[in-house]
Amino acid sequence: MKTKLPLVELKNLTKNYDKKIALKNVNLKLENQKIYGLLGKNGSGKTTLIKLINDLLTPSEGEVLIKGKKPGIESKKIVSYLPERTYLDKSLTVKTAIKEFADFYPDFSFKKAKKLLTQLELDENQKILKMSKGMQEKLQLLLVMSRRAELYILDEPFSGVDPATRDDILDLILENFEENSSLVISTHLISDVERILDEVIFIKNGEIVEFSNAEKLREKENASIDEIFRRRFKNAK
Amino acid sequence: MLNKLIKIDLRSTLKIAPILFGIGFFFALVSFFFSKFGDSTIAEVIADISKNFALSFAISGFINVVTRAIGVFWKKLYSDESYLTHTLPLSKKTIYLSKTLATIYSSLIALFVAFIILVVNYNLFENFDALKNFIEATAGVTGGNVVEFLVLIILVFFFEMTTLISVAFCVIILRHSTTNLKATLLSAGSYLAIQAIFLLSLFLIGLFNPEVMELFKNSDSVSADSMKIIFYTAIIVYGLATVVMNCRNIKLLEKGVNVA
Repeated sequence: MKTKLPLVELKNLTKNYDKKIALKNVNLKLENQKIYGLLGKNGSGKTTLIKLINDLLTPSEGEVLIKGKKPGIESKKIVSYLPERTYLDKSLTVKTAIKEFADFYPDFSFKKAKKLLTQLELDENQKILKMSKGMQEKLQLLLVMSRRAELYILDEPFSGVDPATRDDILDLILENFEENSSLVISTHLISDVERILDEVIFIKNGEIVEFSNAEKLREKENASIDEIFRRRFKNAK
Repeated sequence: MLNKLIKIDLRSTLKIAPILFGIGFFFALVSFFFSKFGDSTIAEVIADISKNFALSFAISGFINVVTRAIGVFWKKLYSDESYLTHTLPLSKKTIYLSKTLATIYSSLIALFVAFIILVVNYNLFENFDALKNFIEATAGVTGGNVVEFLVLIILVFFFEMTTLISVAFCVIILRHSTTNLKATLLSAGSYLAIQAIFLLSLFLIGLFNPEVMELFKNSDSVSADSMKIIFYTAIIVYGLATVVMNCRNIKLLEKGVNVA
């Protein structure tokens, strides 16, 4: 019988920056149709882990497998990634940026993009250069969520968003991510995302210190994920 | 996919040059009209000043394109925009080829536009005979065939340019996988090695061809045949160097990137 390959598998993954160890021997398997919260303090290794999955970093040791294959053309066709920084050419208009995304990603849906344009109140004729940072982040979210990807990876999607808008953005993400897909949200704003998480991954000093079902963890510790996180990470070096 | 990416890279590379070339063209036209129709001292002064401005803008337009192409390579592969470049469903080879081809295309376009500006600036429509005589006289160094001379000169320039571009790309790639010093030394070493191979090739040919050997003894007496051999050797050495350097750059990129 053929065993189903995990969506993402990290095997003994280590990443060093010169002498600093950013990730230490990480082993992890991510499955389909789940929402994962990658939670940790700033500098804990969340972005490093995400960048390794997205082929933006080369592992020092170990390997990253996406559906059994190393990151490459095939994995990039199924992973939709929102980085924590603005990566668009600022001289483009919203419309051109959408067109370019559609040119390169076969799973890009114009229909979704159009719907999101209205929901996010973006003007398709506006130049990115003239948009505020928050608006630029919204545009990137639009581009990422307009794909019918198998895995969405969102790195700090609320960093430039005011607290009042966070819930709206979260609802919009939930509404637009494909039913059979998985979602990884990396954030330190746990209370904002807690309600949607199926699984939680706590990362501390480059190591996975907790990987559990969110509901079971809440029951076991009789506390919210936010509280558990605060307890575990309080005074942590 | 390669064509789509080249289009995007060309747009980024040629962003500023049209402004510089536009100003250059404007001064070339001013120079042209004042030289042709003005007969006062002021008209001559304006024509001379405009001529120099047009020349400066034509040259700076070309330099802008080449330096910008190198900047775009860095920006798209290692700065914020690299987060998009490296997550596109494209191979590293396609990404690299796109940047290289966009650099070559844009440099050739810039060279052509700069040439047009110079044609207007120096009124070469009417002075075509002077240009023709100059080329014919220069072509004498390779035996007098103007077409062969022009083709050889263009190819030597083209391959030397592609070699330099691949060395520049090599510095950028190595800078992100090793120390600055090592990257600079390795890239500069590669370029010096290419020049040394060129000279060594000529020397080896000189062992069998006394006319070429004269080049190493007395550079004033180089024959037309020897000049042709020098041009052909340059084309082969720089052509091969371009292929080897680009293959090495692609291999280095395929090993993976580490984007900050």
